[in-house]
Amino acid sequence: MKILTMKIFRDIQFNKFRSIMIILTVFLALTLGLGLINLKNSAMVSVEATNKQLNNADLRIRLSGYIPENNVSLLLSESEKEAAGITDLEGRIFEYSTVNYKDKIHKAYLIGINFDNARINKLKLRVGDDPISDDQVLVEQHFGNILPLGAQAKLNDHLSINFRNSIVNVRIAGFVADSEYIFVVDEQTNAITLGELCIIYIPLEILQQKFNLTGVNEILVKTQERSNAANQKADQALSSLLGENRIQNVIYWDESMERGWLELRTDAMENIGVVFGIFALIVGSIAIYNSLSKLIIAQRTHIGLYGALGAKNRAILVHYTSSGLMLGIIGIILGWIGATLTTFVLINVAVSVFGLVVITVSSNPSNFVIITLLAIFLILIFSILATLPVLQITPHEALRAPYSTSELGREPFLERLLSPFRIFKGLASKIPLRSVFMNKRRSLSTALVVSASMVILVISASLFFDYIYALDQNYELYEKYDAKVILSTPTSETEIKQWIHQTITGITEIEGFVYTSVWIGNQRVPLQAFHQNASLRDYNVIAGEKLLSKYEILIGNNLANDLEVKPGDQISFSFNLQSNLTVEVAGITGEIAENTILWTIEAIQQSVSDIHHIGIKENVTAFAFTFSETISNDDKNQIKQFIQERFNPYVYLDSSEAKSTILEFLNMFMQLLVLVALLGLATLVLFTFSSMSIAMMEREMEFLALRAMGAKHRTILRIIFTENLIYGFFGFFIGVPISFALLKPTYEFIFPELYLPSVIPVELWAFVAVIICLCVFLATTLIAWRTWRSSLPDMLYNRMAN
Amino acid sequence: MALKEPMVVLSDVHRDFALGDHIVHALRGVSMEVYEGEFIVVLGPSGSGKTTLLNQIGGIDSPTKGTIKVKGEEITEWGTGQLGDYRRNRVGWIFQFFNLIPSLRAWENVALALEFKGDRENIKSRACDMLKAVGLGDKTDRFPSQLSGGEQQRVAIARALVKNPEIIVADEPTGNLDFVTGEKIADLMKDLNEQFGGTYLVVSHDINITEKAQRVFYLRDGQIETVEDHSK
Ligand SMILES: Nc1ncnc2c1ncn2[C@@H]1O[C@H](COP(=O)(O)OP(=O)(O)OP(=O)(O)O)[C@@H](O)[C@H]1O
Ligand SMILES: [Mg+2]
Repeated sequence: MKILTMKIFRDIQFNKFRSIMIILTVFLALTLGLGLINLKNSAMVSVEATNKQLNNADLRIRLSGYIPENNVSLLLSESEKEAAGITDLEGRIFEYSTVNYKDKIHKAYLIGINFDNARINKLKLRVGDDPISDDQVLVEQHFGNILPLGAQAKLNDHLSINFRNSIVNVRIAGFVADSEYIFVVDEQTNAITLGELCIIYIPLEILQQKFNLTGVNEILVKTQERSNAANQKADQALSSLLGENRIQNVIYWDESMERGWLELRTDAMENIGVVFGIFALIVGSIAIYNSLSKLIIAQRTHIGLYGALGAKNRAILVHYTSSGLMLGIIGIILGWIGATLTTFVLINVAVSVFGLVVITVSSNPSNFVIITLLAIFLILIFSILATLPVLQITPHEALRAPYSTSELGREPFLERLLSPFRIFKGLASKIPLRSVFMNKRRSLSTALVVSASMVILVISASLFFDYIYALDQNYELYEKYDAKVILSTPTSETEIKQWIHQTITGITEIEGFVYTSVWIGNQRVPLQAFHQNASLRDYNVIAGEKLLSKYEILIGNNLANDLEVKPGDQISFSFNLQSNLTVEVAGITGEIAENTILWTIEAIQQSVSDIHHIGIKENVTAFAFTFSETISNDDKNQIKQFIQERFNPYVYLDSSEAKSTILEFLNMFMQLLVLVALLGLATLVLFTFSSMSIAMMEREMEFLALRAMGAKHRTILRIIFTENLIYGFFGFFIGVPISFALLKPTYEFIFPELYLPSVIPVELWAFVAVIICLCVFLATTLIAWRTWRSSLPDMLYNRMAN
Repeated sequence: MALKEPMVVLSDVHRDFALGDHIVHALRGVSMEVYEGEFIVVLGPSGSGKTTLLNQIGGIDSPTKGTIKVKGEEITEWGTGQLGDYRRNRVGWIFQFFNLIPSLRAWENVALALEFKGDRENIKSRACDMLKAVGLGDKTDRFPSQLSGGEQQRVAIARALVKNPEIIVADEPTGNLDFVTGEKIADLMKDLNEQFGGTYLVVSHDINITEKAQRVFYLRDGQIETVEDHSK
């Protein structure tokens, strides 16, 4: 091995702290970046694997009546199956019903299957046991308390099934995973019903006995290929056999929809990974730059010596660059492990809500390669940048004196500014100010590490706060009602109000509104129209004006982006595809209802000529109300029940429940953001601490001189502390504008479809400042400890030996 | 001079260093006396313990065994705090590597020694006077990196002397300099010794310095081999 190459290892070994910090830096950057980016892919792969393991059906054919069970297998001969691309068929019972659980009525699906020999849509028992008696059933896991949302039912709890006018009481024997209900979307409304929908599995024969049914009413189909074309082919073959009239409906397992749904959610995670991963890599690169450039300053004499011994500049450059690269590569390899662990933890948190049976960590190879190459590239570039000054060190200059002449300025302005103050009078107190300000480039790189790592924390923490803040704002300032009811048939507002006043106490304000959808081109878009003077609904207008008149509407910002309209533009839409209305976009709103057109009932009534068709001339399609402040939860439930009985609404949504459901559903997201913020915190502490420590280590010689002169501990401690404080201070103040500048673009990148207010909470600045002070303190302690721990004669002796 | 009380008395000073699993005996029983105002040079082959000896007298290190008395006070009993006070107030150290503070100007480097001593009056003019005395009257405002090696060493000497120390300890002060500059520094030190008094203990192989010594101690293997007295 060449001596110079050997020296790389020696340097690494002799500068343990510096080396460990470089490795940790890269490790952290990769852990964060790759770990988050892998999340999406891992989630997709896990869903796929779960589907596969449970052999999820490609096609479900719901019959209008019951057919004998045996007929299912006799339906097609082997060759016919082959021709239709079908690999397997299985019959089961599927019925809609309701259950009463703890005095609350839930929608329910009743599924009758053969537990033991089911081949398609196999169930995986998560907790409990298979039913052993007739009154025991299995329930889909989202309804149970093993997953975070919904009814939180427990094992052995009682359910009353209400089906075809008979009520049957059963007990929950176990909770199961069903690949078909990973996301639990209500088949009838397409709404996500995580944990509210009760899916009950009963052994086929028992279900048949209980409700007096014969045969099965649904056929599960597995196709050879998993594609919509294959589904259609199989569907046609079976339809012609069964006869169109015997088929009630056919549900394709539409992978693309499921995927789309999951992708939408994991996209944001991937974006977070990309943003923070790249942030972390850049911060890491600056940290490496900082650390390497300080190594070079510390080794000026060595470098001069190489030159004096005739080494080529290029060789020296390669020498130092490769030491950075080598540490970087160790960091990358550790980072791969860290990333896998991060993904593993995150995916368990993030997809726990779905109750996947198989959870795998998998990296998209291209992400993996790109991030790794990017990391190597950045490390290389910043190592070279840090090492370039080597070329300017001439042996003559480096060997002449241990002081660099490359940078020399005047005394900093700050020194003159502070000199009237007593504590800045002494010469010792000038040392920190000057060391910082007279070596601007060197100090800037230290301060930049602080700023950049601070930006990660600020943005990730703000993201967390702003997410909650946006929700709070939405329900406090804009959707001010406590509950809304979306009716299945338009009803007169006066009638609603009258009925409620007469029958229900505990409701203070009621307002009817129109909730419907309109066509823009061939796209269906929701429309919400409250009264002109509505007090329960206000709008968060983020661009344009809050004007709602016959000619002017507001439009959610996401929809505005989709349609590429801005305030002042005209848009046309229709209620029934026949007559188009043209109105002006007065303003754009940033709320939860981002895909909605907002108008007023009055404006609709004045503008829409064939209003009778849609039934909203004197009727409303929804109403919102507030509860009196003292109302109990029981009363709220009672009101809900009354309203459900009276209006049979499509949706009854309690705002606080909605908010908490959104929050809980976003929980995985929140946890993710908390995790990112924590990693941001770790980055800040580590990078600030290490960059400060390294900046000080470089000056060990100086502290040694001070000690030899008999400087008091206190004096040296103050010098180190002040200098670190200056780095922290400047790091902080450079970090503030960078954070502000990056906040909005970051949000827009991560959640392109979501409006988030870009607010950085004041407390966060205070928190960051405290953390930086803590790092100043830590770094000072470390250096002071290192300085005092070492014995003066040993240090001098080693110094000479160097 | 021989009639005076000795200022520094070393009795049977030992200093051992643990180096891995074996012990290096850097000093093995050094006894010597130094009188006030003397200019003493310590000579000896490399590794004979010269630096170690100076460190003991200059309050940077403490012996493993034996005692050192300075003006009757036993400094070997002091802790690091007291040794710090001693270095700050009573010893002027000059190292082979100049050890100036890079961010302070020449005069500030000198004045820092006064500041540490707690002697804050007119520190600038006193520092400048001292720099004048070492021949740097016109370069008081320069930073270390703007000075040549010899000039830097002179700043270090000025820094050691400005506080009027009882003892000046110099470890190869001209070791890094060319012959001519070394000569100038040697002359300077001798001049200052005559002008301001002070007791000098200098490790140096530089003929310029050794020829100016009143006494020369030869060290070998951590022991004093011979003492040459040039003053007689
Ligand atoms: N701090 C220390 N730790 C370990 N060993 C030491 C230490 N200081 C000195 N030594 C050892 O003690 C012995 C004497 O060292 P010292 O530095 O006093 O020699 P020196 O006479 O000054 O040599 P030179 O002329 O080369 O400077 C040497 O063998 C050295 O290796
Ligand atoms: Mg020596």
